Amino acid sequence: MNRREFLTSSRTKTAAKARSSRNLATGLTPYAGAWTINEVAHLLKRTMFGARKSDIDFFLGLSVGNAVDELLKTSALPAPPVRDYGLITLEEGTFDDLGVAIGQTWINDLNVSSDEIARGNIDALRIQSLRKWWVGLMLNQKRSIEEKLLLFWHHHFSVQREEVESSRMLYYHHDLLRRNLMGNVRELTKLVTVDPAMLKHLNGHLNAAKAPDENYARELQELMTIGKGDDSGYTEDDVMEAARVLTGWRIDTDTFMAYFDVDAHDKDSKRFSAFYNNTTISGSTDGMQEITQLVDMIFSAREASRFFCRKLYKWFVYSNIDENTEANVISPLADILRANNFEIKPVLEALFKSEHFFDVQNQACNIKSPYDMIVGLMRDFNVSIPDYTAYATGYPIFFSVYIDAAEMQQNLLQPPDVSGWPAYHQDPMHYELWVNSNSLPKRADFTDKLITDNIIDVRSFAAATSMPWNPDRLIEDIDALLFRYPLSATSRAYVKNRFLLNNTGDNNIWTNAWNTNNNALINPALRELFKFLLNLPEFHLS
Amino acid sequence: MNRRKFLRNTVPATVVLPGLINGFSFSALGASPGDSMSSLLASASNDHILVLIQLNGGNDGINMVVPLDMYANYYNARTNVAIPQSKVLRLDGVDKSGLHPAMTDFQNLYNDGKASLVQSVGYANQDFSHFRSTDIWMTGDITRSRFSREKTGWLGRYLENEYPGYPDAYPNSETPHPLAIQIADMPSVTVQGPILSMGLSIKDPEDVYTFSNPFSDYPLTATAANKELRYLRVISEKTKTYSDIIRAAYNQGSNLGTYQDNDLAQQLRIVARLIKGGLKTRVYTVSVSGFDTHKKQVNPSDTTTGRHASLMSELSSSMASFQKDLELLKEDHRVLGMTFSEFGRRIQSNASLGTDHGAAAPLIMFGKHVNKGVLGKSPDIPADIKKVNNIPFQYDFRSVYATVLERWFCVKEPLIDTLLLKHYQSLPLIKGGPCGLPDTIEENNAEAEKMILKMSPVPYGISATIQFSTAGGFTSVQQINALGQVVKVITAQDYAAGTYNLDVYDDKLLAGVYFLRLQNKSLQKVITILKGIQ
Repeated sequence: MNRREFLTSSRTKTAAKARSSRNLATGLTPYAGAWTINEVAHLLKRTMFGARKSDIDFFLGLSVGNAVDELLKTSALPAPPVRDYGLITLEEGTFDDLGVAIGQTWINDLNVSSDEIARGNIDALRIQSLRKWWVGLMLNQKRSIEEKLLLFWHHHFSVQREEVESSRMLYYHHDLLRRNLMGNVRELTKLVTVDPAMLKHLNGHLNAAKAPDENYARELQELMTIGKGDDSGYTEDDVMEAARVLTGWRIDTDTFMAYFDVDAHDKDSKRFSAFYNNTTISGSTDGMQEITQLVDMIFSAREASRFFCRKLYKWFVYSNIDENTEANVISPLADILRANNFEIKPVLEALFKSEHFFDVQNQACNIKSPYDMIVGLMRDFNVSIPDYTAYATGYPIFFSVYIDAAEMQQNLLQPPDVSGWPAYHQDPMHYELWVNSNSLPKRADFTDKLITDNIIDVRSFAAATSMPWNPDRLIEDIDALLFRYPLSATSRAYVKNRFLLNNTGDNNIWTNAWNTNNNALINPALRELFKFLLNLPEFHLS
Repeated sequence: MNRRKFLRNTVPATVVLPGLINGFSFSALGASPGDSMSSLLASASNDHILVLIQLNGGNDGINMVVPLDMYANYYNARTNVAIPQSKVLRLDGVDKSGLHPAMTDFQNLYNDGKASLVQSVGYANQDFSHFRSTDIWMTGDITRSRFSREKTGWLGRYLENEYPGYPDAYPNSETPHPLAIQIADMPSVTVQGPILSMGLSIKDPEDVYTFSNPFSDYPLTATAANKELRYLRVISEKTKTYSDIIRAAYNQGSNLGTYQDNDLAQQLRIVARLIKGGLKTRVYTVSVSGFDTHKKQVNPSDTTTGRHASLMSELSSSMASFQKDLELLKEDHRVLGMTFSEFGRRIQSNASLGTDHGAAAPLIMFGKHVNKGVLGKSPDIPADIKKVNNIPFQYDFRSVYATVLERWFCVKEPLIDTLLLKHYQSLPLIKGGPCGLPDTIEENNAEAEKMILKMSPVPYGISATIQFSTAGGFTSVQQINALGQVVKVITAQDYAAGTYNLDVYDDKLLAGVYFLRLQNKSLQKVITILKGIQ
């Protein structure tokens, strides 16, 4: 059975149910079904951004288990971002960044060498280069989950450039996440708690025994560990007590490093509610020891592992978790997380190898985020991308991608707030938030422009299909590669006739044009065809 | 049968529709409340517009409306962020509270009789999460379970009822324009309907896109198997259709007033221009961020300046500019503005010159038809702030919604109860005229003062007696803790008019400060009580 038959037949059977609500009985049993371009594309487009045909072919040659193992491998740390900007012209004159030369990394430079007037601008340019570098890494991603997982962590431990206001703190925050992206969620939570960017973002650096600031203590529990699910039971007193544990952390304004000021720390005992087994954290002069106890206490609550698995699920699988999914997927994943002492890799492995992940109802139901849409499209079309280190030729391209994604409401290092992107938590719209009357025209403008400017090469894309001279096969192949939700037979016939046959109904028109290499016919036809296809609702599904 | 179908079935459209264009004509014509046909028409398609201003992050209410009658305790609790008493702006005829010094434009708006304030708006069992509390305000439902709570917005439900069958049957000749417009990057829950948002999100109507409707003659034969595809199909079609309509209205509209160059003012400028451009859109939402002032909400050298002051200035001048523009455009008669924020902030300030998440806060209504006045009394701020750090609500926010529905959108009971999921009292914030109803704020406050609410002994221990009066009908007395959460419902039922005593015995509550809140019709009274150690 080919993908389309498989999709349509199983969907027809469940259509009535699917219309009212999803009804998934599948759980974490390892998937043993078909392994075709459909399943490979599903796995790749969920764990990476887009899928090149060469990637699909590569993973088709592996078993499901080996494919997932391959995707969960992580690579060595990349070379850091570099200065890509020249002189800075201000009203007061023209200034140079005297700390680092063009092409050199600035991550070890404290930005004190240049004229004071220009330092703020220099720092802003460094932050922009960090964003470009990061986009470059996404565009150049390996056959690995790492870039999509890293973006998940950015969503999970959301920090905003406008609050942090320091290229160094943002870079080292990013670096912390990158080093630990396949690591241990409990240990990473401890590190993030005293990470300067997070201390700044949620005022931990101002939190003092005299009048504690609850900001981080609240969001730590609400957004990063326990959540507000039905089984969440932490209290307002728990927020206040956690705030007391977290008092005393400061940021050295010269080095941008965090340190502990024992005088600003609340050294009395902190008492927690029954939700945390009435734990008492004894007051001490060791701030990190208290934080360790606090985070260990939080993760010892069963809800913490469930909450984290729900968050992963919403990022990688589906936005709405019904009671079946809670019982058959979330709860067992949470057990795996706990059994593995909060290492996340076994959880991802179980999820992506499961029949639930490949359940037909879990396919093509994710609405692409802007990065999924943009980076994915460029990779689908195998657009030639400069290496992420190529600051002169690559960074300008990476920057335009950054700007486009930000315009479409996914702004790297500036998520809307501390809860990350609402598409992954805002009931009831969820993913639908990505595509609305404000963002949809921007998406359409973007895809039109990629085609008009020849950034995506539609001719090569067509030529790489199995029988490009056959208009029916051409449309079918494009459909299978580009859309996770198949076009109907009527729709395929419509686009074929309108764009390839010039509304004549005669297949020979296209076959003759292709065989005679009639560029004047082929190229405009393909451009209009792809513009139309990328404007279709199906295109936004992943 | 729903109201619209009823109208379609019984009233010849050619006769009714011209009259419906201007909802005020019905009250001006003096339709008698007993006349079911005219009251039905009055509640039908009036052209009243609601503009909601969301203050994102939790607005520090007691620095916006400073409780002058509690000033010493206020100052004591938040010395490092307190507004100096001498700088507080005075409101005509109000001596118990005044405004943040950055709000001179709003002060004038109020003194001109075009604004009202409601004290301590919130809800029982305050949730201190931005996200959950925003959802609560937008859905109007505080149900805790994520499986059973309401997911539609309060205005989404109103619009769905008023314009049934959206989106399929829209736009149409009777309703040619978007039902709601959100000046936002993304839709919010406020106008979320049962299937999808009842509104359109736009940022800038001047943007011109090449975007084309893919469905001009594209065959949509297959039913979408998942809700995401169904959504994408609808949004693709509606975006194209409605963005052309919005742009046309924008180009036809104009502004006559001047607006400051800040985010909120520019959003309201767009709204005014769209209204002038002839859109029959009923609900507009705009928003301004930055209210989550945990730190540095004031400058230490001058607490009347700083982040919160800038926000107060932006809010105040934007509302005033918008109102002025609408007056010049002669559209002010059909527009009501209202602010909301997910919560207020803690009474006590932080060492970091800010305030943490709190409970109830004041809310602003403005427009030609509001009842000038400050509804309710200043929040009770105790001398010993360690005992109570949150402001209990005097008015449930859904009472404000009930007011808007009843007195601005002219919705009748029992539909108001249906839309708000249960019964909430309506408040005298809007003049009766637009929907043919009575009442003023002064009368209301005077009535509230006369209500009896006492508890003895003070402090109470194992047993106590609560005395309260009611004008009859549904009456409730709630006991609220220092977090502003309802810990006990003393009574909630129908009473005949009179004064009643209720005995409390061994209520198992911890010693400490509590509030009693009495509510009957549009009246409330809140008193502070103390439970001693037994």
